Order: sequence, then C-alpha cells, then structure tokens
Amino acid sequence: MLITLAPMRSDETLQVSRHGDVLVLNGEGVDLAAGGTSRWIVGQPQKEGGVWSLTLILPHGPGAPEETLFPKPIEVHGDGAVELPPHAPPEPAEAP
Amino acid sequence: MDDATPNLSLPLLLPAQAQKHVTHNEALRLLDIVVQLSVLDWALAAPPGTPAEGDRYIVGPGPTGAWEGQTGKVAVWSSGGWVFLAPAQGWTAWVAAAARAVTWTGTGWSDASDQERRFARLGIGTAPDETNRLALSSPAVLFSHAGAGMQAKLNKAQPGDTASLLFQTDFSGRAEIGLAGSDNLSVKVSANGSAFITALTASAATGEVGLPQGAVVGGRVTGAAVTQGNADATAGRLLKVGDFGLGGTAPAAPASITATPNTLAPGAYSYSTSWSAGGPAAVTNGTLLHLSRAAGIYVQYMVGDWPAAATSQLFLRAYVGGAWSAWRRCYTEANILGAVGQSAGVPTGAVAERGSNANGEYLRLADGTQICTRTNLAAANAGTASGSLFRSPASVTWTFPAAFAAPPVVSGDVDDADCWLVTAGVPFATSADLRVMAAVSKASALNMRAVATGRWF
Repeated sequence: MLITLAPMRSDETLQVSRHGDVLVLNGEGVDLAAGGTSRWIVGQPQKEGGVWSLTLILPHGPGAPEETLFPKPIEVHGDGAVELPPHAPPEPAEAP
Repeated sequence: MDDATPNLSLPLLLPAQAQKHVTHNEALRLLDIVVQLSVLDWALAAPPGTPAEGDRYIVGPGPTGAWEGQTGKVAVWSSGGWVFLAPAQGWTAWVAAAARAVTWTGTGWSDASDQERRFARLGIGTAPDETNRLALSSPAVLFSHAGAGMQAKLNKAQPGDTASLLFQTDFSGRAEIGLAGSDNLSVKVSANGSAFITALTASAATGEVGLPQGAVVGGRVTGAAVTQGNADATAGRLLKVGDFGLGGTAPAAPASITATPNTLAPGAYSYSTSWSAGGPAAVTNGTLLHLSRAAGIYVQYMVGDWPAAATSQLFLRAYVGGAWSAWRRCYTEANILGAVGQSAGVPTGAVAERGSNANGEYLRLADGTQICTRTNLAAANAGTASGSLFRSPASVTWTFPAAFAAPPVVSGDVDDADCWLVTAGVPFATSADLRVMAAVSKASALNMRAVATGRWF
C-alpha cells in the first residue's frame, strides 16, 4: 500500500492502522475494496498491480517539522499501526 | 580640796602627804594610758593570751574571762594585771587593727566614718567654689555598691529645671545628657561649647525616641518596627529589602493568589502551580505583581517563565466588584505571531499564524479568518471543448494547506492569456476541485494559482 500524504494545518490529529484492505482512521474503519471513503482520504483510492495507492490528509499543528510539512509517501507492507510524521514539535523538557 | 582632777581623775598630792611618789606615779601612769590614746584592737571579746606591758585594748562586745563586764572600757596590761578605764564622752582612740580612729559617744565607740558630717564645701584635689561646692580632681572616680547595687541621682526642683551630666573639653561643653529644661531625656552635643544641637530625645510620657538630626545605623534594624517577613503587611512598619519581592530574589510564595476577599498584600510574589493555583492557564511558573488601587480593587500582572510558550508573556486581570476578571494576555512582537487558538471563540494563542506545507501557504487569524494560497497547483491544459469555450479534461483537486471549518470561497487565476480558473463544484472544507476555462483551446499544461478564504472555526 502506498500512502501519499497531503499536509494540512488542523488542530485535529489522525491515527492510522491497516488491516488488509481496511484502513482504520481515528477508529473508523474504511474498506477500500468496498469503495469506502472518508473525509481523511483525498480523491479515489486506486489499486494497481494488487497494490493500493491513496492520498491521506496529514493534519499538523503549528510549528510542525519539515518532515510533516513536506512529507514523503509512505509504503505500508504489513498490517498494524501506520507511523505518520509528528503532529507538532516535541514537548520541551521539565520546568527549571 | 578634791583629791583627784575633775576630767581624767588623776590623783592629786595632799598637803604633807607621805609616799608622794606613789600618787604622782599613779597620775603619770593614767596620763600614759589616756594621752595619745592608741589601742591595738577594739573588737576582741577575750583578753589576748600574752599581752606586753602597757598594751591597750578597747574591750569588745560580750567580753569573757578577765574582761567580763568591762564592755567598752579601755583595758591596759599593767604589772601583770588588766587595768580598766571608763572613757568619757569625746575620747578618741586610734585602733591599730582597724587603722582608723573611733570616738566614745557616751554609749559606745563610734567609727568616725559612721558619723554624719556636713560640709559647706568640699574639694578633693582641687578647690571648690560657690557653684561647684563639691570639687574633685582625680584620674578616676569610683562609686561602688553597698549591698547589691548603686544609684547615682541627679535631682532637680521643677520640670522646667535641669538635671544633667555635662561633658567638657578644657571646660567648654561638648555633650549634655539628662533632663535639660524638661522631663524628657535629651542628648545634646556641641562643637564649640556655645551652640548645642539635640541629637536624641526620649519622651517621658511615651518612651518614644527621637533622632532630630538623623541617624547613621551601621548594623541591622530589627524588632517590631520593621517587617518581620517577606509578606508582613503590618501598617507602619519599615520595609526591609527583599520583602514583597523588592530588591531581593526570594519573594513570598503564597498558596493562594485568588482568595476573596483578597488577603494578598500588594507586592511581588513567586507563582508556580507546584504550590499555588489561579494563574493564567498557560503559565506553570511566573512572577506575580499584585497591586491595589483601593480596598477591594486589585490588579494582577503575571509574567511567565515556564513553559517556553509562556516565557516573557504578560498576563493581567482585575478584581472589581467582588470577582476576578479572566486572565488577559498582552501582545508584543514576541507573541503577536505564532500558533493561534481559541476556546469558545475567545483567542487562546497568537494573533496571526502563517505556515506553509506541500499544499501551499496559509494565514490563520485569531478572529477565525483563514486564507490559503497556492501558486503552483498541478498543471492542466484546456483543450476540451465545453460549449463555445474550452476547459480542462479533468478537474484538479487542491487540498488546502489548512483545514477550514466550512467550505471557503475559492478563486484564482491561470498563468496564461485568455483563460481563467473556476471551481468544478462546491468546495469542501478541506479541498476544492478546480479547472481551467479558456476562450481558445490551450493544449499545453498551465500553472494555476488559487486562493481560498473562509473561517477556521
């Protein structure tokens, strides 16, 4: 599965995991084989040569790192959680 | 004719007396005892064991042995026996053991130092005069105690009179301590002996000490006159450096900065959510400035230092009419730009937030306005006939670089002549489908520029 990411400033966050043809987006299952869609999916997923290809909105907060603002496509080979670039910069250390 | 003298009872020779030398020697012996009377001791009760011929004593109180019943008499050891002479009033004897003179008063021997004496004037080492009736010249003077203690008293007649100690240099006054013309204590000093200035006063009525010329205090001032801690708000106390956060680096850390009615004294305080609450939500650690315009009307300023997002950020609020307003953030060049936020429509972050990502640039404003732009949207030709015009064969989806709360207004332009950009339907909150329209067929790919204006909340 090839996921192209479309970064978008948003206060929401997105958790993605894959189970075969089903993508779970923030707990909501989308069966790509059944033509399911979601507000997180841009355009229509395509299956070429047995590999799904789709574009997902990647929500990010202010000051997100470069890897989030200009993300590279993700290749997903197995089932399980899909790791996305971080939503926001890491939290600072302990108070002085 | 008497046979003895009237005062010392010396035996007199009688006319034609036989053994004249006996009487005469008796008289001489009495004179030898009494004249230039000097005794060895005056305190013995028992006679000494081995007296010498002619030894004289005054018999002490409670006598025993050979002296029994002879209290106060002069005892003389003569020819192997004690002779006793009763003194007459005024006899004075030197007591060798005590090294002083004593006088028979008629009832007892009295030390001269026990007797009251009066002098019109007395000078010791110098001459008295009519004003200085007691004059003394000495390297030192000792007034020692009798019993436990000693008081030296300087008495005056009326409150308006003076009782004081005057210190002089070459008989010119330099300092005066005492009751000078009143019942209040004063310390006066003079540089020339004529002009005196009052350095210190103490009120007889209240005990209050005055320093009319000022004070140079080399040590610390302590006690109830100064503040007792960094939050002691007792009225009238002198404020120490460091208290209420002024001049020090350890201001008080009150457990509550929000109590109503407010019990916090105006001043600077240390704030942390570790020991207090009620500060701005964004501030974990900060410095609080609490001021009061009048009773029941307060303002608070909080400058955060942690977390990083609150560092150097100023928040303020006011307490009027029995309630605190919400904390308000002040905007500076440091926080006017940054992440915007809102809660129920009230801004919680910066005024404006600009950012860019792979989908373009966005400007998000604190009032909810959001503008997204894209200057390099994927190329599309306009070669498909559409009525008398031409359009792109398929629409191009622009995923906005920032999410809108509702579909925005989208418009744009195309980088060529005789063509323009239109939407291919109602935009979505997160994307819009765009296409190029042209008056003439455009076979080559065209770059599209688009803008979307709407609200992010």
